[in-house]
Order: sequence, then C-alpha cells, then structure tokens
Amino acid sequence: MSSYAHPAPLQQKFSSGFAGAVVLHVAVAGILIGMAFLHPFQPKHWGEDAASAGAIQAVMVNALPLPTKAPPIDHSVLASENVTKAPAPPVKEKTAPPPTPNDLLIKNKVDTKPPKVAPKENLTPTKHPLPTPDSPKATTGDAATQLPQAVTQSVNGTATVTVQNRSFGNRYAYYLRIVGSMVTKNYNEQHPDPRASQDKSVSMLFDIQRDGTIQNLRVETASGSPTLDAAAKRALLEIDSFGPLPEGDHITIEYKFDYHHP
Amino acid sequence: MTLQSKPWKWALLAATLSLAIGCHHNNHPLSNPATGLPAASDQPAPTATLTADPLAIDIGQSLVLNWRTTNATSVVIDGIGPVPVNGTQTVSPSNSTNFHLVAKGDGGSTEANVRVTVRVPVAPTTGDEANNSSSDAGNEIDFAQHVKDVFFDYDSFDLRPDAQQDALNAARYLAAHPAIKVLIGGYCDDRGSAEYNITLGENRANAARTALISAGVPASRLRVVSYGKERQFCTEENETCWQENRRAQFKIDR
Amino acid sequence: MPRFTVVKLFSKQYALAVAVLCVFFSPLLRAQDQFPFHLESTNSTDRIRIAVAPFKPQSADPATAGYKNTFDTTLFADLSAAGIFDIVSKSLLPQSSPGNQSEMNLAQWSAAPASAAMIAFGNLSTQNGHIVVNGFLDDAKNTQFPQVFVKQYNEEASDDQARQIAHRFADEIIARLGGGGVGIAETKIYYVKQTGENKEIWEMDYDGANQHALTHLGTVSMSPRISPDNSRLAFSSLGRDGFQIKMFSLLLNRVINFPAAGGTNVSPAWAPNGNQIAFSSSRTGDPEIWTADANGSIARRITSFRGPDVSPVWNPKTGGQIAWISGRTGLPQLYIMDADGSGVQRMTDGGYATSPSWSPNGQFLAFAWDRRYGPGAPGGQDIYVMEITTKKWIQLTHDSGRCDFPSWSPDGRHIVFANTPDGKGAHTRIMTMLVDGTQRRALTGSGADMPNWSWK
Repeated sequence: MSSYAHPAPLQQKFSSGFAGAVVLHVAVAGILIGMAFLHPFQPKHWGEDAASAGAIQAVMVNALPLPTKAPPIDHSVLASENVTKAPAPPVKEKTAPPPTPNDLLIKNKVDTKPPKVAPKENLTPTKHPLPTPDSPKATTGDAATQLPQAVTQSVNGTATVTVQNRSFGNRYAYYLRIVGSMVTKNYNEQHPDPRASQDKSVSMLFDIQRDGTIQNLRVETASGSPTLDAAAKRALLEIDSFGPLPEGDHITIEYKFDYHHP
Repeated sequence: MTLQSKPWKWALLAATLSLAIGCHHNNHPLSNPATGLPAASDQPAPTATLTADPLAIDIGQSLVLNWRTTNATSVVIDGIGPVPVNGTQTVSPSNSTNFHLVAKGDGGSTEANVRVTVRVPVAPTTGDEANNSSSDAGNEIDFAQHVKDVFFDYDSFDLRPDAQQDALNAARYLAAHPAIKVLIGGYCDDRGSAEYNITLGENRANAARTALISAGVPASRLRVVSYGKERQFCTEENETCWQENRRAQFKIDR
Repeated sequence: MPRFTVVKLFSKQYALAVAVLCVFFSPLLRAQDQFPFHLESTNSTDRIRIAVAPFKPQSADPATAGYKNTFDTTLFADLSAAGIFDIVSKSLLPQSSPGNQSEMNLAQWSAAPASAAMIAFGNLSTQNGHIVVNGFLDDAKNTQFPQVFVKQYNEEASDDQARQIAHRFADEIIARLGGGGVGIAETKIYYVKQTGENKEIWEMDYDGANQHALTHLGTVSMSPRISPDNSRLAFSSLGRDGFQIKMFSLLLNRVINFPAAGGTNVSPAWAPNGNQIAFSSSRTGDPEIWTADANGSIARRITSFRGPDVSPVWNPKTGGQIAWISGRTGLPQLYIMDADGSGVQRMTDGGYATSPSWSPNGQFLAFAWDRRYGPGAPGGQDIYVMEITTKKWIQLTHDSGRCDFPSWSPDGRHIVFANTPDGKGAHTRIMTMLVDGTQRRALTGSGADMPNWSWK
C-alpha cells in the first residue's frame, strides 16, 4: 500500500522527515566547514616558478631515419580547387489536373511536350596534374640535352636538384649530390598536409653563393598546396651553408619537389 | 517532501561552504604584526639582512657591506643611496658608522642595521714588543692546540655552533699572542667540481676569517687562501674522510 | 534502493578524486617529455660513402713504409671520427693501390662490394729528408670529371709530420664534402696533467696523440682555456696568495705577464673576438664573475650576489652572453646572462650542476650535472646537453663513474670530457664522444683532467 492514500500521517511524516533532513544537511555542512579549517587547502603553484625554471628531459631521436618533429598544428583542410557541379534536380513534369466530376470534357490542346530531362553532366573526377617522372640521369653528363640533376628519394617523395649551369653540373656533380642530400634530409622532417599535397610538386629557385649560402630564394612554380610550398621553403631556409663552391661566384639551382606519401 | 525542500537546502549548503572557504582565506597570515603596519594587500612583507665584513677595520682599510632582501621593490642604504635589492658594496668609512638599510615592498617596509668599528691605531710600546718577540716564535704545537681548524657541512660555508666556539677560543689565543699572523686555508671534499670547490673553499675561509674578526682579531693579521679540493687531507671515499676535508685550516703565516 | 544510491555517489566521488590526483601529479610527469631537438649528427643514410685507399709508396725504404703506415692509419681515423662519412671497410676495398689519377679505375671502386661514392687516394715518398704526399679525392660516380681536388704536402720527414699531413688532408676532404662544416683533424686539446703532487698544463692533438707539457710551474695549475686565435692560453695557478689568473704564450713558449689581484681568481674564459676574458674573482670578498681585457686591464664586475659564482663561458657565436655556475640558491646551478650582467636566467632547476661549455653554433650548453630527480636519478654526475631556448636536455653519459668538464669541438659534433670510473680523482682520464653520446673512447691514461678543445 502506498502512502499516498493517507494524508494525515503524511503530515506527521513530513515534519519528522523534514527535521531529519535538516539535521543531516547541517551535519554535512558542519563537517565540511570543520575540514576546511582543520585541513586548509593550499594549492601548489602550477607551472614554472620565475626563479627556478623547469628543465625538461628530451630524447635524442636524430639517429632514427624517420621524421621526428611533432607535426605542425595548421591542419588546413583544403577543398579541391575545381568543384564538381552537383547534378541539377530533375524538373517536375507538368501534368494536367485530373478532371473534376463537374468538368465538361473539352477537347483542349494537349501539351505533349517531352518531359524535361536534366542535362547530362560530365561526372568524371577532375584530373590532378600527374608528376612527371624524372629520369635519374644524375651525374654522367653524357645526355647533352638534359641539365645536370641529382635525384634523391625521401620519405615524402622525390627531390630533384638541377643546376642551371651545365658545365658546372657536369664537372662538380658531387657538389650537386651534397646539395640534394642536405635539402632532402631537412625535407624529411617537414610535414605538409598529405591530402592537399598528394602528387603535387613545387619548384623553387635559388642561388648558391661562393661561401655556400643560399640567396634569392623564390618559388618558380607553386604546387597549389600552401603547406607543401611552405615545407619546401623551410627545408631550404634551415640550411646554413652547403660548403664553399668548388668554382665560380655563384650558381643557380632549381629544386623541384614531388610530394608522394603512400 | 525531500524533493520540495532540496533546492533551498543546497543553496544553504553552498552558501555555508563558500563562507567557510572565504573565512579560511582571510585567516591566512598576511598582516605582519612585526612591522606594525597593516597588511597593504595580499603581499608578504619584505625582509632584509645587512652584514659587514669585516666588522672592525683599521683606519684607511675597506670593508664589504652585504645585504639580502626578499619581497622588496626598493632598497636604500643611508650614506650610499638606492641600491639593488641584493648586493654588496665596498666602503672605507673614516670613523665608526652605523649602516642603516630600508627595504620597501608591496607588503610594507623593513629595516636592517650593522655597526662598523673603525680603529684608530695606538702607538706600539717597545716594552710589550720585547716580551712578545720571545713568545711569538710561533710554537706550532701550542698554536695547533689552541687554534683548531673549523669544519663545515656539505656544500655549506656557514659556521656550525661548535665551529663558532672554536673560533672564539682561537681568537682568545691570538689576542694573547699578538705577533702571530694566521693563514686561513679553505678546503673541500673531493666530490663536486674543481672550479666550484675553489670558490666554496674561499667562502669557507672567509667565513672563518669573519668569525675571528668578530671575536676581535685584527683583519691585518689574517690572510685567506682557497685550495678547493687540492691538497686533500685524506683520500678515502667515505663520509669520515670527506668531513676531514671540509674545513678552514689555521696555520701560522710566515 | 538507498544503498544503491550511496554506492553510486561514492564511486563518482572516488573517480573525481582520482582525476583530481592525476591532474595534481601531472607536473611530475613533465620530466618525461620526449621532444627531441636537432643536434649535429648524421644517421647512416645521410652519410657519404667514402673509400680510403692505402697510399702508394714511391720509394722502397723502410722509413717511407713507416711514415706511410702512420699516414694511412691517421687518415682513416680522422675521416671515421668526423661523423659524416660512411667509410668503406678495409676488407671491401679493391686490391689495387692507385698512386695517381691515371692509375685510378673508377669502376672498380664504385662497383660492389666497395660501392664507394668518393675515393681518397694518392702517393707518399721521402725525398731529401722530406715527406712528400700527393693526395687525390675522386668522385666515383662522375666518369667524365672524377677529380674533386688534388693537393701536395711537403714537410720535414718525421712520424709526427706524417700524422699532421694526414690531418690536413682529412680536413681538406671534410671542407669540400662536409656541407659547410669544419674539419677538426688539426685541432688541439689543452688539459691538466697530474705530475706527482702538482698539476701542470699539457697539450695534445684532438685524437690523443702528441701529448706534451706546456707549463713547468711546480704548483697546482688548472682550468686551461686557449684563445680563439690559438696564440695564448689562460689558466689559473696556485701561488702564495691563492689562485691567480696566468697567461701562457704559445708563440713565445712561456708564461707572460698578467696582473694579479686580491682574493681568489679562477676559471678564465675567452670572448670569441679574443679581446676580452671573463673569470671568477673574490677580490671584493665574495667570488663573482668579472670581465676584463685580454691583458687584464679594465676589470669590471658583472654579478653581485652572495654565494660562489664561477666557471663563466661566453656564447662563441655572438659573444653577447655568458653562462656560468652560481651557488646563490644553495647547490650550484647553471645560469645565463647578457655579457653586461643583465638578463639573468636560471637554466637548471635542481641537483648539482657545474662546468658549462657553449656549443659553436650558440644553441646548446653542455655541462656536468648530478640531476637527483627524474628518470635515472640518483645517478652520478654525468654530461648533459641542454637546448638554451627550450631548456630541454638530454643525458649523454650513464653509469660510467663521475664525468665533468665537457668541451665542444669546433665542428659541433664532438664533446671531450673528464671521467673517473671509480670516483677517485687520481684515476681521472680524458674521453671523447660524438654529441649523441656514441663513439666514446679514452684519449689519455689516468691523471688527465679539465680538457679544453681549441677553436680551430
């Protein structure tokens, strides 16, 4: 039997229950206040003291061949440049209203228009520019038509370094190889956005001075992926010097980077 | 019934709790009765110490004032002017001076004092010299018995209470033999770095020197050399030997 | 029913308490951060594969054979130590010993098993009491223009000169192929050698050869620091009035004048422009850091704090900052400041830190630290490298006794340091290693300490 049917005892129960509840609440409050006085809450200082700076242990992972730096936070989700058009909704066919019972059947001109069909869209996916495979004609120099190049494979794709001075490239092919390996080593540590950069390529132009430092760094052909362009630029800017030029005042280098991450 | 009364009960509890925490915060010691000033804000009051080394000089010599403050934003020393909150200063007063430092901070202000004595030289009497010269031959054994080396704790250059007593005894002996000059050597145990230990040894020797000067030995009779962890007294790798090496050594300076 | 409610509430509070505790203790986990930083080391895939051919002797006498042997061994060791080459092991080399370009058959060297990208070879002869060496460096992949450079060396015939020629040839190869890096084959290390009761300053080649004494003062001398132009050596020496800074001229081969001062003066350090030195002096009563001209004049105090301040070292790239050790808070800690004494920054947050050395590119500090907290503690005193901008550190030595006095090589790839495996001072010896802690080996026997690597 539920207590709902008995209002009179409810009154009694109410007062005793209420009193009990008040006592309980006061007791709990009292305990909490007592605890606050007896065991004061003194928060430790978080973060770093100005006087004693925090030293943090790091682990040297440069020995591993894998890129080690934490990826940058700029995950820009780029949509494709060419937006595929959504097919237009089919046009509603105009049908004659059904004859009402009182309507006289009048012979009218019946519109026998053919039903409108949405124009057929070409729904093939947009073509991305495919990377032109570079023939690894690195250093032999017998191909008179091609400028001397050094091609290196990296985790992020292929890097091709071309020197615009043919005789320099033939004579000092080893220097090109050094340039290629130093840039690729830096490039391995970059993290362009894989979705936006996949199968894209950027080419940079720069001069190497007599002391091996980079000057006049500029983008020759942008890839369309800003993170890839930035990664290529960073890989080059991080280099102090390639070592002194074996000959000459300066040489111009074209550095083409194809991004392909499986 | 409980459902009806719940909301205001919780409000009462919450109010009580916040009062409790708030009251407790107010009881946190912020007002510093020592300065007699009311706590300006929730900032701790500044403290200051001022020392001089040596405390007594002959006229024409110089001494170093050394002061340390906490929670102070401006520090001024009478006669010198505004100074950094912690620092040292070499001064050459021509008569006995009381150096007075005032440190002000967000939590109030405080003071520190040190009195420096400048001795005017007294012409030596020949009679005394004759008496002293016979006993000043520097009886090494006698010296070693009365002037004991003082020992220190790890990485410390503060004199322990037993060392303070030794310094007083040494000063008494030196006062009785005024022609003896003392070379104070500072040493460290062989743990730790050679370069740092030279400076620690220096500080130990200087601390011993300050103790002797405070006990009345004239600074001109004392010379300090630090050896760091060179010229060890023993070479075992245990605490007994290490304690042996952490010392300021007194030798007759010839 | 009520029991169920109570249990639920309790577990909720419990979970909350656990969560709160985790948040409170997370600062301790800070020490476990695993972010690396970019040190100058190359992994094997980036190294250039170079074959070092035994040089061809042009005369048959035994003296030439001896010099050739020394030359070959030294050249091989120098190129291995550089840290940027993948050296073809001797067993994979072709059997030929080409003496000049016409005798070089590139295909032999670029094919397996040698698979070399570069080849160092040449000839050595003795003529009229001189050693003459012709050294070649070839690009094995460039059949049309293989020669990178050829150089001739001509020195008085001696074993030491055979070694020095090899050093110079190795440095030349590193200069051409090292991507702007400098070669260290001709650099020297200055150090303290225990001679009975005393300690003198000695010098040796970077690979431990040619150890010889510089000072003969008959007392305790320590903290040798060579000037950037290799002309003068500053050090501190124990005299009647305690330790004083002294200057030794390597050109005149004797101690030269340097003003003495009151108190204890130790641990000199050179500014990169060679015109100023910093040192620790207690002439005002408390050991503080001072700077002065290279001849000791215009001394200026730049720290003022109770507690020992010692072991200053300048930023070798900019010359605008000084790192040093201070005991102002108790145990010695590592600090940096601007060269005029402003901008004091504390770098270590505990333990016992000493003996800083600043890397040539200005980005790292190597120092000895008994860390006493975090993983691996309490260990002993080990060599650490800290990146200055982030204060992140890595530990280079572990469980090998007490290590101290690290000193960077000018190419930023090596560190030389003092180590005593059993903790006894008399058993200290000098060791060298790459900055990632690998390729560690001893350069001296017992009784050597406080090494200082030359600037070039």
